[in-house]
Amino acid sequence: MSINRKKVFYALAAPLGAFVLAVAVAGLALLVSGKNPFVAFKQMVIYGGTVDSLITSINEALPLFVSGVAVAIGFRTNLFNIGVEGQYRLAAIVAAVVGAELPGPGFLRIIMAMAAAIIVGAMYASIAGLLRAYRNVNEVIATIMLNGVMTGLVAVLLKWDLIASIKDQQLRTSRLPKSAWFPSVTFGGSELYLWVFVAIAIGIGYHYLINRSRFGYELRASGINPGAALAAGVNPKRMIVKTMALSGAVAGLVGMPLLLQRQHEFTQQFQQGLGFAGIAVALVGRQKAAGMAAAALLFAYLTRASQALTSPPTRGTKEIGTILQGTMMLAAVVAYEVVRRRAEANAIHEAAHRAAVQFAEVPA
Amino acid sequence: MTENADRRAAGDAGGPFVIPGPHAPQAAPYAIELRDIVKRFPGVVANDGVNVAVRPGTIHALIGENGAGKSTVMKILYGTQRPDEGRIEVNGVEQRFKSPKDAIAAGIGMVFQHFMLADNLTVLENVILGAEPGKGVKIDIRTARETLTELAAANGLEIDPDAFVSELGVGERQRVEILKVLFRGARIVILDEPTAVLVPQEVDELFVTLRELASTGVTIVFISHKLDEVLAIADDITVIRKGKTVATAIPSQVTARDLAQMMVGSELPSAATRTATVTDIATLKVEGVTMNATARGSRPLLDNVSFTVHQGEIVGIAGIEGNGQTELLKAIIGIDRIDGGSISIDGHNLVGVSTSDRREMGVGYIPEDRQREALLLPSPLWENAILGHQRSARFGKGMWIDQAAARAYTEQIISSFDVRTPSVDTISLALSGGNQQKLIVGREMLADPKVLVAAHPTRGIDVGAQAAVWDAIRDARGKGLALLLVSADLEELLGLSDTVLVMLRGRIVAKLDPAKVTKSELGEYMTGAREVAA
Repeated sequence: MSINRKKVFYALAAPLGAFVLAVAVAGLALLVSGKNPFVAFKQMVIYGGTVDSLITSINEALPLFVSGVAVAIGFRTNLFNIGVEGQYRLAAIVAAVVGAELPGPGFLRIIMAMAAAIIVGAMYASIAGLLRAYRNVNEVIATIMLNGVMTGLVAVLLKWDLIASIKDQQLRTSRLPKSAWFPSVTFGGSELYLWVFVAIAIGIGYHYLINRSRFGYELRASGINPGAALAAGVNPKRMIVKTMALSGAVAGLVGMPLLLQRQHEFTQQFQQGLGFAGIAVALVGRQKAAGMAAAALLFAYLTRASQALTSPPTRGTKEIGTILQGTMMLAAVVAYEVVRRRAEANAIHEAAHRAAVQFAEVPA
Repeated sequence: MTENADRRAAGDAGGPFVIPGPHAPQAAPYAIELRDIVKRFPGVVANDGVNVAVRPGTIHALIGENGAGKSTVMKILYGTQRPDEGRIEVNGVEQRFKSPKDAIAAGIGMVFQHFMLADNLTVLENVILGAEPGKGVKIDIRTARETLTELAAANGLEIDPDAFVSELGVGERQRVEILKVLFRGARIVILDEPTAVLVPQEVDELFVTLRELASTGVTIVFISHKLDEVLAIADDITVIRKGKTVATAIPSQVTARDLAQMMVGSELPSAATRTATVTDIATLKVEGVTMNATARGSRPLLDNVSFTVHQGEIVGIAGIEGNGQTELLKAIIGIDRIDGGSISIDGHNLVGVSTSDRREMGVGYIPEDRQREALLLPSPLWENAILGHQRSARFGKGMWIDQAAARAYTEQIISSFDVRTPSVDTISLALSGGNQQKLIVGREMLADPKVLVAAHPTRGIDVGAQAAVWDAIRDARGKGLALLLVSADLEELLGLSDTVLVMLRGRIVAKLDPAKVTKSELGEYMTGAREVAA
């Protein structure tokens, strides 16, 4: 009997189940609105399967994935960083200014911009970390409020004529010179952002840091059992601050593929909502690097594919994409919990068996 | 029917230790009768023919080693597990419990070893919690109070219904637990290791209470492995070994030694330390340590505590739980901050030294509350095995953890301390309490600490493994370990320690020679009934 096969089954059963349920719910929604779900899904699959769609999905998945990693770092030590949203937008505007205004060759500007994003993200998240550690302010509340503060900060910064000006009826930061655009390759007329390698590096770094390093061990230990971590020599307050800073540092990078590969400037229209989407990615991907990569790709794909529903015969049902994503997240979270309890019960059973087996070996 | 039961109890129970039971034919049915109970788990039989007959209005002791199947019997009786074979009869009526609700409805109540009380509620509120009298959303507090007062008076369980549970001592909390089950109409009360948390004087009080309860017709099932106590309190005794009832006995006809043999098939190990290894090198020095109270106006948690643990010495701390022992251990490992005095190791003052640095200096810690302070329940054993030693050079270089080394270390703990587990990857949650405790003791002992501060190192582990832990402690002592030992098991404390200190209300009130003090004298110091001789 292969325990590995059982493990694989447990690992895949939940996400697959969630996917099936999501498709069923979306199908029902389509039926209710008088459309044929099969036609709609077929449209989605055809449109989503084009080279252009696939490459776009990868590009769009990049910020989702990084945002998921940022949220996951907090989750691993029981901190809920809802503030990724604020951290990445504030980091993006600073990075845009640094990349555009500081002198230097293109690659240096890219590095400086990303470094600035990391620092700003880490510092902004640290505020919530410090408040939580030393003033016992719940980090959920603190980060939500800091998101509000960010909105105001960004608006004020955009009005500052040293860094932004009105062009085409919009406040914008100066454009990054072409040399500071992150490279991309073209497949069949579509650009694939090479920032994908940075994202992969972040994923690998996350995996090893959390699962293999002493710091990751201590971080997880304080998430699982703060009392035991304390007795083991982990300073829980410092751990909170460090974790929030790390989460924020990664959050700072969320906007980088957009800034360095697509927009090359920061405007009020700079994409919003990625921080919240990251929470869904972290949940569906179970805070595992590969899982979150899959979740980010799936979410990006669904968003892209549901664009097909803007044309006849199923015009006007584009929100099916959102329904799919939402249902999948809810179902996945429930399914993971069910599977976790199953696995736990199994383990208890096995251990009880092992403990008792010595009695069974003694002939009665 | 009763004749059949007699024959079974006397003849068919199996095993070489059958002693004629007390089951004279009688008119009234048994309060509880378990017949040929079998409970299987895949590949193993936890209960394999358990027969217990409890006469109404008596105190019936159920004894056996940890893992013998006592707890499975208990779970079956309380409805949390269903037997695969066999019959359960309560007052002569066959019962099939699907859940504890059914057991409660049949008049069975359970008092767990770990109290399940809400600290911030009063006694009365705790008692009625979940069984509130009254209609709709309104609780009929007056009726509840009257019922409780009557119950308490009738059963000799005097207690102030308006006292907050947080203010109560351990013995009083236990009384509240008993009142709780009586309030729910229980006429059969199962007590799981009720004396484990009590000092001798409280044990005596509990026994008076139990006698009174029995005299009013309440039937008591008393689960224990403390043979002296069983002999002192029980009317009948049933012995379980390896999932079978191997004997029934009445106290007047057996000795503790007989019972021990029935339980384990061999003699009990002893905690006694043989040769003196104490040196005059002071390893751990605690001088005038004071820790202020958390709430204003109450007594300090630690009040001018001073003592020295030398290399190769075991200093035992006796005391009723909550008299500063926990705080003292936490102060030494650096979790709690002290407000005065000093703690030093090999002459290095530990002021401002972090817990992790203390760990690196060679201080080991076995905390009192293993779930809260010692384990990562959802994590595999190997991750638990390095907890507290995660920064040691033994488990990795630089910033990375060496998983292979951690796993090898875990294997070593498993084999040295007989931790029963399927593998090093099993989550620690899956292990029984005793096996969890062995893992914790093993990880601290095998790390070769210079100083070990340990609370109840053998709590909840069975006799064989207890002996292994004691051996390991003696060995380490021989090699120069300085051990500060807090234990509620007075036999262990007196047997292992070179010096015994008694803590009361945050102060050290006596320094005693374990060879010259008896358990009951020690108990008197612990309760403050006897004053200093130091």
